[in-house]
Amino acid sequence: MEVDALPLFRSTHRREFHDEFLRAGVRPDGRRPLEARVPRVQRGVLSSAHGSARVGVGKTLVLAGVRAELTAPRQTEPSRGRVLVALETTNISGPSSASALLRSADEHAAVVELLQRTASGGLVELDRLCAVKGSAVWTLYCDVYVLEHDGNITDAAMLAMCAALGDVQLPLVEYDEKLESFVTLGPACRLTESESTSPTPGTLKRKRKAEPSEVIRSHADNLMRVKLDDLLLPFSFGVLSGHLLADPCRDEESLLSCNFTVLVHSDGQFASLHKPGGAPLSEHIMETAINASRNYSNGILQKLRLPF
Amino acid sequence: MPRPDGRLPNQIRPFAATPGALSRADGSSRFSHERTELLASVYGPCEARRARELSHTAAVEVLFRPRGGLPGPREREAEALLCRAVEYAALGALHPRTALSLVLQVVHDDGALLSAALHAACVALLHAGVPLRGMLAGCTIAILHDGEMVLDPTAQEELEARTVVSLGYMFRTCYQYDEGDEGAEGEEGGGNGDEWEPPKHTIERELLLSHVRGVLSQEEYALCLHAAQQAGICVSAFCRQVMERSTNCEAKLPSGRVTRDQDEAITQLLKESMDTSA
Repeated sequence: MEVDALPLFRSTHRREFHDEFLRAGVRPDGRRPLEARVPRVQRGVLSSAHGSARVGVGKTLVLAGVRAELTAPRQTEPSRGRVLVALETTNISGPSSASALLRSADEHAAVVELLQRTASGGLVELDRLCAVKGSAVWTLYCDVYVLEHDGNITDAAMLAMCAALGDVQLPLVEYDEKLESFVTLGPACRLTESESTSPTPGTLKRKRKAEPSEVIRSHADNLMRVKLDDLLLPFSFGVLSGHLLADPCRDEESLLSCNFTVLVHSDGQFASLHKPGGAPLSEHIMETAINASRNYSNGILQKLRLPF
Repeated sequence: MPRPDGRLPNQIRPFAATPGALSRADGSSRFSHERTELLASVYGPCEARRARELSHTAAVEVLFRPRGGLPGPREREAEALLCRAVEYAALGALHPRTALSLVLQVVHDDGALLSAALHAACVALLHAGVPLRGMLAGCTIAILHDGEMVLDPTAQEELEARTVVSLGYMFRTCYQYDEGDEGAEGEEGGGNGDEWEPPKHTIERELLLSHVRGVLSQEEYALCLHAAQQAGICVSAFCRQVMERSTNCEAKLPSGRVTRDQDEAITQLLKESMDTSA
């Protein structure tokens, strides 16, 4: 009886399997060590959300949706909106053993904070999320769902978040003295009644459709696209047995001694580097990774066909 | 230009450490950067819960408690970062199937919390006698809107800053022995004469943590790395001194405080390092 030895070797000697490939300068999935998978980005995939995007990196699949709500601004910053990011990794994204689950809980906390920091730290112009100065600002709730986990959640989630936020169109809002509520001038938009934090001077109310013709007329002009101020492109790397790997897949991720993410501006300039613990990062490897991410960022926007 | 609290941009705050601040923990410490203060306690290596047990190494668990209220996403992130740093730094393979838990309680937050937590964790781990690969130390650096870099920022400075970078390093003292010497480690070379003298050593610095809020240029990042290394060397030397003192005289645990002279020496060191790298 013939037995195909390769899958057996792969599952019993995982590190040796990868090492053997890396020694030959190639990875088991056919990529070069510094070759990243080209992400596929689709925007506007959900009709029920204000903005949405689906991002695939290899087999990793991430869905992001943005819901916009009118809320009362903070007293200290009356004209700044907010962006709140949540990341959801469910069991459908892949099987995980007990120890892998623990690791992913940690990974999850680090990724979601990175997303949140990026979103509220310069990605979206928060001043433009002001609906009515001093009384109502937009809060964008961005929910990122990991549907399939095949490694490199950081990059996929970050791209999905950026694409979904860039897809959001907000209606203009006015305060109506007669109705004593805020009315949207764009197409129907979910405005929730606020409870404890009621925006002054009136409370938010769902706008009753007054005249359909008016709504349609105002449709085209009164929608405001959320502008992304400074798009950051994420590039994750990992070190496996001393080899630097770009965009590690799930198989490789479990063997990495350390992983880190380089963020670059859309023009290729270095923006920041995140390293959540793990084995140390040598300066030589850091240099290589930064240069590699510069090269990727060349023309990646065209490849992604994102109108940022 | 001096800062609001009178420090120079490249001056870190005087720190104080008390190993063994808590009596019931296996190891504990109180670490403060002037007003930023944390309490750390280490339990273990002790029995691990079955689900957490790892066959090849000790399972590290970090709990980060804010000064008030429940831990939020920021605390969970700090837990994740510190957990992975301690996992690497502690020689967990010596205690497989056990658990090592580290609890950090913020007493007061006045900026540079992550690096203060790293220092508190390091002293507590040393006090607990957990074998470590090296000393954990780091620095938080804030880059203000005019591009000026200030080390070890206060909460107010962090709030006003364009970018805040927290870096965590591990420092190892590598002794250089003659070739063929038992237990040789690190690079070759370095000779010992006939009479004994302390072997030559170098301080290896390894980047474990990098946490950035905001964006910065590559040159600024390189400068931050350099400054954090220099600051970290000072902190790890300080921690070493504190531990040496506390183990020599067990009766009264001294709280090491940086004297004015030491502080000036540190400032000078940082200044030189910033000048050479700029």
